[in-house]
Amino acid sequence: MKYVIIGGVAGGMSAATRLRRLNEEAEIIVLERGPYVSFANCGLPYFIGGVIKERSKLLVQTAEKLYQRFRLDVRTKSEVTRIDREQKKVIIDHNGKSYEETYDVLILSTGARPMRPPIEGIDQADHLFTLRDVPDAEHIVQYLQQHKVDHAVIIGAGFIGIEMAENLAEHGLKVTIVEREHQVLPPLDPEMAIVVEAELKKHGIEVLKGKTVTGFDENGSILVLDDGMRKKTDLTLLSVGVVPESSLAEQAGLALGIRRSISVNDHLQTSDSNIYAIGDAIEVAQTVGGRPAVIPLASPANRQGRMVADILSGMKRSYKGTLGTSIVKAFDLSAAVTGLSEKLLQRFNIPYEALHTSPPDHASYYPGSAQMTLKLLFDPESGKVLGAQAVGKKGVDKTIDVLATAIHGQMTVNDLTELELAYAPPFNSAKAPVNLIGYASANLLDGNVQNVQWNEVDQLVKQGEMLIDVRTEQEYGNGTIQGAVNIPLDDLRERLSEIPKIRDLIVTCQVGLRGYLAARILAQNGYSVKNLDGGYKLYSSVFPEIVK
Amino acid sequence: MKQRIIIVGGVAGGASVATRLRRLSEDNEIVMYEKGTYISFANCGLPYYVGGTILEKDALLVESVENMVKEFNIEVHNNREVVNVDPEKHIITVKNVLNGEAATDHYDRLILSTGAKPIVPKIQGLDQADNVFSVRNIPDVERIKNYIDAHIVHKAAVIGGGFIGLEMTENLADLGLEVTLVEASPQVMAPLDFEMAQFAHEQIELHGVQLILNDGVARFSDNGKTVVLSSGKEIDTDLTVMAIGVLPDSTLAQKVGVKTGIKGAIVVNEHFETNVPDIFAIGDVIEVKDFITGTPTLIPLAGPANRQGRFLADYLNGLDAKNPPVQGTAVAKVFALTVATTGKNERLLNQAGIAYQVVHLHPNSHAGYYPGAAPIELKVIYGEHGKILGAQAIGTEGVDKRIDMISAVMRLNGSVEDLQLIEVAYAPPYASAKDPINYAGYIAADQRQGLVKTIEWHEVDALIEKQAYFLDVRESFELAAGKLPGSHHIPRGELRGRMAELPKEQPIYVYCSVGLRGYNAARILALNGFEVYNLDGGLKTYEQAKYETGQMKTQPHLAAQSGSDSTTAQQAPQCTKIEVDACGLQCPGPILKVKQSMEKMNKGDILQVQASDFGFHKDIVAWANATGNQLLTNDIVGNKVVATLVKGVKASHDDAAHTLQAAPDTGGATTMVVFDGDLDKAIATFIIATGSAAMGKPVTLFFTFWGLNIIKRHANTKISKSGTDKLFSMMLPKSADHLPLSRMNMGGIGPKMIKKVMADKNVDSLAVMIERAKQLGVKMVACTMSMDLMGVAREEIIDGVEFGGVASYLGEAAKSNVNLFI
Ligand SMILES: Cc1cc2nc3c(=O)[nH]c(=O)nc-3n(C[C@H](O)[C@H](O)[C@H](O)COP(=O)(O)OP(=O)(O)OC[C@H]3O[C@@H](n4cnc5c(N)ncnc54)[C@H](O)[C@@H]3O)c2cc1C
Ligand SMILES: Cc1cc2nc3c(=O)[nH]c(=O)nc-3n(C[C@H](O)[C@H](O)[C@H](O)COP(=O)(O)OP(=O)(O)OC[C@H]3O[C@@H](n4cnc5c(N)ncnc54)[C@H](O)[C@@H]3O)c2cc1C
Repeated sequence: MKYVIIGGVAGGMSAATRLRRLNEEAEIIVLERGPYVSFANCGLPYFIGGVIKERSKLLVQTAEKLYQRFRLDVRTKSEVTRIDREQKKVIIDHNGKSYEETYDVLILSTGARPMRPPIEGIDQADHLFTLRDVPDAEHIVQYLQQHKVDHAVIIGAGFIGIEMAENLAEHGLKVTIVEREHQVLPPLDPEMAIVVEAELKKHGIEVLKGKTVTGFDENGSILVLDDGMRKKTDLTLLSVGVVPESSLAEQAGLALGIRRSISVNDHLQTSDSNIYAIGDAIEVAQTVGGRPAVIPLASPANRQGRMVADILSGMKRSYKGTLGTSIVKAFDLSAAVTGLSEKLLQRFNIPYEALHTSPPDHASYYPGSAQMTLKLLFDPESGKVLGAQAVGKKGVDKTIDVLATAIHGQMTVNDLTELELAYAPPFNSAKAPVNLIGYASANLLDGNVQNVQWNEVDQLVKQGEMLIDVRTEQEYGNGTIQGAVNIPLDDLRERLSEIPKIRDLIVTCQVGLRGYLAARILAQNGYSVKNLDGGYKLYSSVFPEIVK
Repeated sequence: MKQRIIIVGGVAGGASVATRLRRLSEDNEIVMYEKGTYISFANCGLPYYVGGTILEKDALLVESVENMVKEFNIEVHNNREVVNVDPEKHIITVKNVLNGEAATDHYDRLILSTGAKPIVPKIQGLDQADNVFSVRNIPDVERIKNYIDAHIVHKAAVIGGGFIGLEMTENLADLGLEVTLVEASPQVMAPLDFEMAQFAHEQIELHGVQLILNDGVARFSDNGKTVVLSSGKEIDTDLTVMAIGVLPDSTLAQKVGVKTGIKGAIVVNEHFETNVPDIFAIGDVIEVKDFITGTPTLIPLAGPANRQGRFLADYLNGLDAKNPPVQGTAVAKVFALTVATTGKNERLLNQAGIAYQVVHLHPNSHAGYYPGAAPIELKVIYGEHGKILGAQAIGTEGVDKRIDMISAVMRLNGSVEDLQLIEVAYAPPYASAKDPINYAGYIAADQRQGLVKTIEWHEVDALIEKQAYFLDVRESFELAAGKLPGSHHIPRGELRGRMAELPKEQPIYVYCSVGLRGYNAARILALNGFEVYNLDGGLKTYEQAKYETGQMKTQPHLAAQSGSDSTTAQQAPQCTKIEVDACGLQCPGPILKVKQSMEKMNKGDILQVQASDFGFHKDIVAWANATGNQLLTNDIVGNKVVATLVKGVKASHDDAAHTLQAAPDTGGATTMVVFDGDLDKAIATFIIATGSAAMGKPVTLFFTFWGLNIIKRHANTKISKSGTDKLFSMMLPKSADHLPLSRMNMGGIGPKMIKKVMADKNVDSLAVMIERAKQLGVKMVACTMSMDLMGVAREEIIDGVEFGGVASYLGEAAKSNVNLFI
């Protein structure tokens, strides 16, 4: 058997090594366009920032080692320029020379490349960079070493954009982020992203939201934004997303899916039964909801690489879908997401219920605990978990990973309450954040409480609903939501007479817990009451200018 | 209908049920009786209050009495012990513990959340001791703190190596006390299996705690100042903490006819109902259903107690809630380590007669190239259909996260297949693209599919005894840190070319350091028709399981130094100090890094290296010993090992400087230092040597360390040797006939030269080449200093070799224009 693999990084190399471990005899050729294989792309921003000091640490394997350990025929600087499906061969360009290699099975793991929108002046722009591979990172590092760079502009506030903003800022640069959407980190919902935005600003990064770059002036030294603003820059990073690298597949006439990704069936097989495809270049089904998507992440790419090798070696496997669990560090914060966001649920018209909590990552009496903001999205009928997001200093990855596990297991919010998570004060609370949000969601599901969201409350107050802030007088004095009256929780039972029964009520507290207690008291006393989900904390983080 | 619900016990379970009851119903009267002064306090924080990590007592008070009353409208009676119940009349009798007054109260529903109490056995001398404490509540820890403040306390003893015992050990050590931990069973932390507990044992000893296993307390003497153990051993102590476990606190329940089971725990049905109408029970005092076996068991943990409180309130308010079976997921901090477990361990599965398989692995907490990565010692146990039965994890980073995910997978009755598919949040600071739990799933799935057969660490010794064929597939340099006696060595990269050396008629047991290369090698061999087994968890698991307690010097943070001349470091103040960060590298990574750095250094230079793999602490001792580099310090600093070494310091006795000055300026000589004993290097050495000599140049070969193997006689020279020397010669090849092969480069000359020779010559030719070299007048010098270190006697070296120190090499080197280090 002769396997030819195009692309020698995450997906490609996983497939190649696994194929070898399963088949000692097979001929396995890996063709990689770039100078390195199996490098750690995800470490590149940290290499640029100097957090990772040695470049060698990023180069996980070399062609020689791969030959020696796995008898893999790895050829770098070898670009496949054409696939000849008829004759089952590929045409390869190596240092300007072209040659052919036949295959029995071809695996495409060509990845995704940074998007490069046709902005005016882009081709004349100097010091404009994208970041995908080691040479890209080296260019940036060299540029930083050889030029006086004071101000960097990052176009696009996705995961890579945020990581680069942090790393360039740590380098001492003044950094500006320009983002077309009205929030940073578009995979997150806006009220979660705003916490990250605040962290970026806290570290001196300028964030320009809702703005697009429309032109590069003066050879790229000036960025022109759609509102006419002209921004000077010494170094510009274009990180506005990636597109599946599918031109080879397209030329070969393979079926394509959304955003020109390569279509595969659940055996990761393309429309040509001798050609398989994996990684960032393919279309996958979303685990939640089953819709087609392109999800360019390392862990699915690795998993698919391994799985395609298993399938080709006759094992029973099928690729069911990708959840899209991802995480990014932004200075002291971590922001993570799994499953579908509220935005996507809305776009897909999937019914959902949303809930926010602010639990400490571990027992607050043990030093070092920090509150995170946690959001859960679940089916209002079945209680099935649809998605989750978390932002905070600690415990974010753990919380989202447990929730990703829960979604994988099709758990409901009731199941979350039963999860037994490791507890001792330095690590968790006896009621872990995941348990707590399960409890709170189960309350909603059971009808013990009704919620309103941060973006609904103003409208309802305008319509005449009464907003009661149940925090202490002092907390209330430090700032509240416009129109709120103060009745502290501890006094509520005694002061019920002050509250007119005819009005619909909204209660709010700091994070939602006391509001929930108040809502229970009021509901049991015959009031129609809703609790402001996430409380004042969430509301004021989204609308810092509205609260007094 | 309005009800009066009385709760006995106002802490974890009691407070949970009370507050939830209120949230679900404003009407009911909710009444709490607590024998102690405090309600709803954080028991789990108590040890840290003793140690001063938690500074304020108030921090331990989760809900005050006042808050319970005001915010939740709960009637709270603290300092009141419920001493009797009349189930017929629904009346309780309450004693005021402050003044002894009695009172009664009426209930519609009674909830017992009376917890578990420390076991305090009747031990001789205990009554006379005023310095023995147990830890259950705030007054207990205040007593300990007061005792420490009021007395001169240098030494402490902790009896019992469970979670509480270990937390107390750490916190007392944090106070600067000299702590002895006594545990009656062979290991601490019963939820761990032995080989995993060994990581904790080492950690405890690394922090200067004296650990005594397999020994219990027989009696106290000297008013508690001496603890006498069953073995007769005596321990001096100023303060003793008894933490030998807890028993359900069910005195009240038993008195009123509530049915009890294991160790007096209250028997309840899935709705927390006891056999007595209207009496319910939750928390540490009840029997729960074991998640794996379905049988009743005791799991005294805060998470379940809280959950049960809530679920009982739900049930009492007509919501659908049942007491879920309990896995027993737990975690504890043990100095720099986090130790976490879920489900069953091997010991319990064996007892229950449940068949299982295990995998051990040592993956990094997150991408090794991102700072702060550290290995996680992970063990996953699975049964039929790959269903996960339990997991154990130990490390400094990311341990709790992995156990939580595995615990969640178990809740789903998930299998190792599920572990493969869990999509974790990956970016370099948090995980790896293939997360540790994915890896565990991959390895287990391969095992299940028969792709690899494994043996466990505890099977190794018996196999060695039976002279099984063990194949070490690590790189040559790793052998210095130890290997299995009698094992054969072919580095993984050379395996395909050297399969002819392996026996076909006998199973081959492959191993490497952590199991991964062993797995790859096992696949190669299996696909080539060998019967092959891989050592699960590699040498690391095996060696850790063999860890011997009590060998470490008790001096905290400082481990044994190799060699006695520790003054040499000060002798060389002008030498450079090089710092190397080997964190995130898994063994043998740190050793390799040290080796590479040392190669670039000059004699007397100092290397400081830090590693996040605690295994490095042992490895570096062995390596320094074997290579003649001196280990100055080897400390645990936070969650890292920090070691400093001096390069080749022992050679400093030789008067090198003098020789150098005396060196004449003759050109054209060739000097080679032969450091490694690999076959290809040996051949290359002699090719170059004979080549140069044939061209009429004077040639000196200086054999050091493993290079000495090349010039050993055939194995029949038997010389009597003492302890460590024996150990080394066991690890060393016997002579030139037994040399391993390396992948040497030598700036490009090596491989090219070897290629041709290797093609038509076999091992014998080396002996022939040595003879020819001698005839051509090649001078061969064996380094006496490294002979000493490697335990090689003069008698073992072939004839015609001179003996000399480093100085003789330097002398020759100064005369030469070609100096090679091989
Ligand atoms: C800066 C950066 C940070 C990232 N951080 C994270 C992160 O924190 N977490 C995460 O989950 N993911 C992260 N990712 C995404 C992750 O790296 C990818 O999802 C993953 O590498 C995809 O694997 P792949 O095999 O599909 O493609 P790639 O790893 O991109 O490999 C494709 C390879 O194919 C080669 N190739 C393409 N066409 C040809 C051809 N015609 N001939 C020969 N070779 C060809 C390319 O040169 C490329 O090397 C990051 C990516 C980048 C760039
Ligand atoms: C030092 C320590 C550390 C711990 N660390 C952890 C940890 O890290 N993680 C973990 O999961 N668990 C830990 N635990 C265990 C955890 O605290 C218990 O599982 C949990 O508190 C059990 O709750 P409970 O309500 O059943 O009993 P408890 O919390 O023990 O409450 C029982 C209460 O009932 C009272 N009481 C008993 N009888 C009567 C009576 N007749 N009348 C009135 N009152 C009565 C007692 O005074 C006691 O206050 C720890 C326990 C201790 C002691």
